[in-house]
Amino acid sequence: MRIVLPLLIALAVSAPAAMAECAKPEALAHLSGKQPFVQTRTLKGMSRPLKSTGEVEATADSMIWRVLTPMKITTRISPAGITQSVDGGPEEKLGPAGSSNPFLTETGLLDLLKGDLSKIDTRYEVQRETRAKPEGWKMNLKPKSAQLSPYVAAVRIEGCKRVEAIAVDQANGDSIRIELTGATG
Amino acid sequence: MKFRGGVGAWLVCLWLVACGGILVWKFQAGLPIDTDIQSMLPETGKDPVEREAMIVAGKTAAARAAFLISAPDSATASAAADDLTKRLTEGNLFAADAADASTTGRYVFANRGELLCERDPKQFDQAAADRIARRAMAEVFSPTGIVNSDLLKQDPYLITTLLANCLPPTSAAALPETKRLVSGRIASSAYRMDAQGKIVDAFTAWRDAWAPKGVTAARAGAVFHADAAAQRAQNEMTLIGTIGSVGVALLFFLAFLRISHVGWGFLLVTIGLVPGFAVVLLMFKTVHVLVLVFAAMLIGIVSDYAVHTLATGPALNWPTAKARIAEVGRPISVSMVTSCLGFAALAMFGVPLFQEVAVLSVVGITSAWAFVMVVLLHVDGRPKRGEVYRKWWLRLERMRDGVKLPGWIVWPSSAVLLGLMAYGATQITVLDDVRKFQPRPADLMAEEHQLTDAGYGGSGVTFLLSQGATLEEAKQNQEAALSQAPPAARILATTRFDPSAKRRAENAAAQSILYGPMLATHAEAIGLDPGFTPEHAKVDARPPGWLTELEGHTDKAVFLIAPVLDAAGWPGPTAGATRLIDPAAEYSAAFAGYRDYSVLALIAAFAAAIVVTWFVYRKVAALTILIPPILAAVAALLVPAAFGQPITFFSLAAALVLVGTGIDYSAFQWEGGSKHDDTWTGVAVFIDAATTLLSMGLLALSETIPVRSFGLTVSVGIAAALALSHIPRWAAQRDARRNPTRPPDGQMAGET
Repeated sequence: MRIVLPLLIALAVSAPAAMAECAKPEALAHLSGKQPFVQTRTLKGMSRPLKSTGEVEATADSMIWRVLTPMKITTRISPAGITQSVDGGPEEKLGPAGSSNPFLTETGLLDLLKGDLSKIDTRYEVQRETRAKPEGWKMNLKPKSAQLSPYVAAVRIEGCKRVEAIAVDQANGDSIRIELTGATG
Repeated sequence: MKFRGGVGAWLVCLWLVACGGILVWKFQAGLPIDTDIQSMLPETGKDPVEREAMIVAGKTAAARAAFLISAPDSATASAAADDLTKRLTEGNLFAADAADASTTGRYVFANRGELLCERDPKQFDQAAADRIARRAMAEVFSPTGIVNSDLLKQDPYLITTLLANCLPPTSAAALPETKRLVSGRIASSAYRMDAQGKIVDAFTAWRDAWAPKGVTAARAGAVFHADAAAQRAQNEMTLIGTIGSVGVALLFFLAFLRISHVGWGFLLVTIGLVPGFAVVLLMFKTVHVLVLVFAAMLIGIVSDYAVHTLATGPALNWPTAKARIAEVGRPISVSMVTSCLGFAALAMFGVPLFQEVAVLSVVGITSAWAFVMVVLLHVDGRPKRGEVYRKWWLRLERMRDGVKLPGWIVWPSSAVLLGLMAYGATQITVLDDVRKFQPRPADLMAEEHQLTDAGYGGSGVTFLLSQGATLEEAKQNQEAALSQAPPAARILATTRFDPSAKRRAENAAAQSILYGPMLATHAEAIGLDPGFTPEHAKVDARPPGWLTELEGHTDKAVFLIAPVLDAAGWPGPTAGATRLIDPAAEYSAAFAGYRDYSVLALIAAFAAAIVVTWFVYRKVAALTILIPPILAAVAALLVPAAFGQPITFFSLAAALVLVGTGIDYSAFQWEGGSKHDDTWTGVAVFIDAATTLLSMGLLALSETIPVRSFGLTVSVGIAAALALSHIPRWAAQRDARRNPTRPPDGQMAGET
């Protein structure tokens, strides 16, 4: 689960070249820049959803996820592994490094960080739909990996010229929705 | 020819059939061959806990195996890693660490309330509690957080994930995306040849399947070294066995001119080996592969009995069995007893390998002796072409008798030998370091380095040993020792996962800060109700297999071993019931001790030989029988030293064997010298020595130092024993002249 969302964000912060109509998700190219986000985590049996806001930035070989409210968390994901800094503290390694981390390998994050979407079909069963209102597209992903499927039931991505929202339905009934409000630079 | 062996013969035959049956039964259950280097190592008798712990630690370390897979791309690397894991785990031969991880995770989750990342619970203060709470919040609000509602309701501070990261001492380095690490434990002994075969076969089949796709793998693990050593031992066994067998067959044929006698020679060797191995397998569950190599020396000893027995046929014109027993019974029996004493002395060292060799040899030699006495002597009747064979033998004896070495050869040669011995005495070096005993294949070492560079921690040969009268006491001792270790030390300690009851209570008390007033604030921050109390669902809390393997006990103590992956310069605890153990250093020290001790065993063996010789011959002059083996043993130790060969415990073990074989030659020469009509001992002893050199001496070709050291000592010693065996012959002739019992006729008996 640690990596599924960043994987999708990697996809999300990719954007098509300027196009008048909606772009095909497969045509999204790797983009450097920052995008604000609003994350809503809904936990089963809990009275209120948990909201956080921040920005996500993709670089050539890594992705930096910055949560700004309600606390400051900076998470850096690269082929070498994941590090995290909490409240401006030192960066600490999370989980095993590199290809020792099954989530890094099973999600295909490293390929996606390089902008290579060609293998998404090898890791997920992909179902494509058209979004009516507002006009756009939807992708429903179901993980093929036996290591991932006990944790992730389904992933939904939607957008038009860019990825606008991502939702992850966890196997236990929890869910996370991330809305990306557009690039800032 | 009528067989008159009697009841004894039938008993011997029954014994042989029973032993054959035992071998068939033992081999049906799988190849019972052990390749564990620890079996070559002495039991460190000073401390039973330490000895048992070293066995447990050795098995744990040996069970580890790892593979670093390299592929052209990430997806291929994943698929290749999955396939290798699947092939290895088929038949439950291999338990992948990935599978262990979920069991460990469940166990840590169930015990999270009594575990801490801090080695000392006093370090867990309010600041530490606040850090844990903020870390849990970060998990909840971070997109990378491993969190779900089920976990949060039971573990609101996500202590389980925290512990999962801080308790294991491993720290895998970052691997490129095209590489994967497959690691785990071998369920069976890595030193069983059948287990090795399955693991190596599975890996080889996987490699053949994936090599065309550009996939390669580096290996690490004792199983691969053991397999290489077993292959080497098998090759050596084949080489030494083949050369020895062909040489012995040729010698027998040249001596007797009869194929049937070559057959008798090999039958006697088989009769020595079958009961020997059968009893070894009854007493020890497996037989060490090096015992098979050492077994080659039985060919030399047992074939001697065939030579002497069969020689009395043509030499004495095939007299009655009773007359032949009168001729060879005493020297063969003296030889059998002294050889058995020499080999039995090997068992005194507490080295499992030598205990097996001792049992194999004593049982084998005794069985062959019994067969000779009650069967062979009775079935070897006069053949149709008896006169031809007899003339040939007597010709050989005359040829031997005609060899007179001139003084200008004997004295300078003796001077050179003495000079070499004197020089060797000044050049003596010793080798006790077990790490240098077996050559390690360069390719495997290079592959292991690749895994080490990739961050694979390996197995941790050095370990922390903690003991106590109870498990609780052993745990407390380990915890006290760990508190002294530097933070950088990487130690896989049981008590980090399964602390003592005392430490569990301290940890739980320390954690209570988390469940006081700060819980409500924290619960609200992560979306739980302010009045929330953690749920306690029942989970399977069985400890993982690797954890229980680190525990052991003797009759009086319980002990824990903690493999040290990186001591970070820590010399170990300063005092108490916990210490850092380096098994290689311990075994090397034990070998050094046994090397000293073996000198005493040599003296004891010679003392026993003096008693046996005196008891049998009752003559001071007969004690010259002991001169050749003594001098041969000294020469065998000093001459190789002159050429830079170190003396090992195994050299001294070989010297012990020389006691038996040296006395064998001397006893026959004494017997021959005491008879003016001797027509056979000279040639027979020469053939004895030649067969022994062809079997035991060839062990000097081995790449394994214990075997080579043994073979080298035996080679030099046997040559010396043969040359010096004329001393008791001269002494016997002199004694016979002084105390004549039969008038010399100046002619060899039966000569026509």
